[in-house]
Amino acid sequence: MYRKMGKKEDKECRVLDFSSDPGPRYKKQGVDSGEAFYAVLKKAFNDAVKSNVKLKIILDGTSGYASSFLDEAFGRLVYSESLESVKQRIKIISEEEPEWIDMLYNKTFSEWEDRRKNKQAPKST
Amino acid sequence: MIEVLKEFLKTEEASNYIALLNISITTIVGIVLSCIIHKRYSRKKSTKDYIISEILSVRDLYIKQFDFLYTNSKSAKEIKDWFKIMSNRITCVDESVKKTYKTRGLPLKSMHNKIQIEVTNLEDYNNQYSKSKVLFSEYSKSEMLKYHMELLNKINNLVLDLYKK
Repeated sequence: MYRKMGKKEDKECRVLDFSSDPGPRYKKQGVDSGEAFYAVLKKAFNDAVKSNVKLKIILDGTSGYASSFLDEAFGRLVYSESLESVKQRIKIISEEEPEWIDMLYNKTFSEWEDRRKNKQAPKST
Repeated sequence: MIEVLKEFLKTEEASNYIALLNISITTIVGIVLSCIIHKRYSRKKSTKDYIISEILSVRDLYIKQFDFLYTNSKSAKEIKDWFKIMSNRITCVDESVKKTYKTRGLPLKSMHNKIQIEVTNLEDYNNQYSKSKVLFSEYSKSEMLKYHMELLNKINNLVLDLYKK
């Protein structure tokens, strides 16, 4: 007899839990940077991979974003994991400003995938 | 009874009554139709005027914001927060336009998003994130001026198009 397996729930990562006021691109430029958020995002991504579930990343609820914050955090994820792996694993939710999802999928991901292929490593500050 | 009616209808008196009834009905229908059309037209015009005034207020807010940016009067956080508030405002106007005119929405939204992405990605902006005011370089200012002009042109064309509808 096989026991019925329950459906595993997707993991969630809210930017709001990291900061209600996301900052600039790099750590050296200010607090709550994209570079700092990348560490949180990477951990959540690894957890999702280990559990073999999707990772939902929720952008809503903060005071707003600098595009550089999102570019650095998500770009680094693509650089470390590859575009295909990231696209398969994550789902970005942004009801307040859905345009950020467009920017990430249509600009950030492809630019950072090119950097990954050309081995142009991100700055660490 | 029908015979009596037939006989009555042959008389001149009956034709006067019928003519009077005809005029009355035509007048009443005319009045009702003009009221309905006027009401619909007024409603349509009011909606259009409202949407145009909202778009013009977006333009005015942008003019003010660009003045602040050119005169280095805002912090990075203030700039970032302003962009989010404007995103929400433009989305509301966009939804009204889509609903009213059954169109795809405003080109204003994509223009706003482009400006938001470009300005908050500038090195000046990020390097001075912790400062009380961001001092933009002449290069950054000239880039912002391009976006400003493009936005104003889009808004002007949009308002003219709406007036034609």
